[in-house]
Amino acid sequence: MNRARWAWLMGWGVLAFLHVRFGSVASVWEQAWSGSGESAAMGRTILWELRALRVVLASAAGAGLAVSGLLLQTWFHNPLAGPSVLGISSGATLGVAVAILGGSASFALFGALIGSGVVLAVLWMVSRRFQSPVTLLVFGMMLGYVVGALVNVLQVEASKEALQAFVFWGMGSFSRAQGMWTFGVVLATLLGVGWAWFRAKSLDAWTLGPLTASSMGVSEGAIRTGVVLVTGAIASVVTAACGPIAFVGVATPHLVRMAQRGRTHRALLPNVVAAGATLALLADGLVRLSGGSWPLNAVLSILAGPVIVYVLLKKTWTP
Amino acid sequence: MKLALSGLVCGYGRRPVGPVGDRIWSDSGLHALIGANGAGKSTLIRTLAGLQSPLAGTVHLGAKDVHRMRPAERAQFVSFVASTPPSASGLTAGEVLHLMDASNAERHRALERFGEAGWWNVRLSELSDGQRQRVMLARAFLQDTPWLLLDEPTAFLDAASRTRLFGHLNELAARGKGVVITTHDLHLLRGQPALRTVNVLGKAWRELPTEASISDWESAL
Repeated sequence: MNRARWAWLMGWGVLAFLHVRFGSVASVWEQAWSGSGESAAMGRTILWELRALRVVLASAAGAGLAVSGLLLQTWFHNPLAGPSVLGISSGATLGVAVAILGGSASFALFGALIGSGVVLAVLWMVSRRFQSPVTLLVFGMMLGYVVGALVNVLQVEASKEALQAFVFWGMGSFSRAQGMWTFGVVLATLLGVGWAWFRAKSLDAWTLGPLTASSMGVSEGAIRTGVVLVTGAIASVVTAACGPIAFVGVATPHLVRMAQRGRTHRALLPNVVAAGATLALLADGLVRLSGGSWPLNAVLSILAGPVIVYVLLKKTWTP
Repeated sequence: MKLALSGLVCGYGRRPVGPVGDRIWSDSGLHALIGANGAGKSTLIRTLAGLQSPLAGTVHLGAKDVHRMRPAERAQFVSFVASTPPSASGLTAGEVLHLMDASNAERHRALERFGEAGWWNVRLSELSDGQRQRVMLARAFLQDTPWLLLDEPTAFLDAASRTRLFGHLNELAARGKGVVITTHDLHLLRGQPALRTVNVLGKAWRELPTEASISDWESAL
């Protein structure tokens, strides 16, 4: 294993331990391990069902979004591509807006899933008709704008309380971890990583351009379908479970490329997974240090924004 | 393996580009496509490689229609080098050659043949256009297909590399491979022992005698 991978894994391990070890309820750790009776049971519940589950959700969401970012940057040949550009998270946002602003907040998660699912289906249908990925990129962005405008209209018509709940959701959070949704995020991320690993050689060939890749036996359709479905599925469940999460997807692959020389997808993937999980845990750690008052997306933007600016300034981007 | 074009019309959308092609190239050997800028050379060679659908007509390799093959199957019969080498890839020359089915020794030999051994650990993005193109030529060579289709492969190459490339193409032809090349390098083309046909794309598709003089070729453009 290379040094970069050790570093990412160590970083993740330390952060995960800190997350489980410390929290707003003091002495939970001691109670869970050495206490007895009811207090020990309570301690274990907090430890595993709250803290550890939150670590799993944040890690899986960060890893999944980061892998999506890697796939989209490879496919679009574009350093600024990420899971939010295709309009999928906008679709989820619309679904949530309809649910929350329509007065049935308990359907928010399903609203997100349905909203992003609809956008995904539209993208997949039109993607076969577009010649170049850039056209799809522009289509996705336009779709995002239109959906965003619809959300704006809904907001104007909403009640004050509903609007507050919606804005709160839009800030993103890993605190809403529930078993089922966490499982969904883990599953989507595992599927995405598995697909990318399986198609790694084709993705490497894709960096040589569509003509050359196709002449080498890469099926453009198979890559397109895979990228759209994988990134779409991950964005859907992550947005449903955590709200729209900014910047992890775009910035993580760049962080990984900065720290290592290898550019094959087999060299990048494991580190992108580890780095995405680490970045998500780091941001969530800061949110928890603030007592949960700092918005996750604000923390992520502050952490990841400079990375992207740095990449643009260095002008040495390569997929 | 025979490369046969029948009633082939290339182009984009509904707009045809270049003349209609009816040809059977049964020979192993070098087939050159020449013509002025915009004559349709690149469109034709991409269509022959199965990378672009024709507006009408067919391209057959032996008994098989190139445009009905799956990419993985097609890649066993035709290799292709695009006119512009990829500039944005962060893969090293060695990593690019690792994508091909070959032994490591063969990969190193191919790089030495078309490029330089020292490029193995250098990223494509760190090489010059000409150097990248030579890596792409080594890659196509490793694909080891009966037909090699090269779209202006000499455009970015220095004089010595051009001469060397034609040397390799003659060698490939001697081993029974078919090579189709688009080029403006008429002086280099003239007198290549493997040259079988010289095809001028203009209003019509004309075939010139390979032994004609350069000025005859040029006046046909």
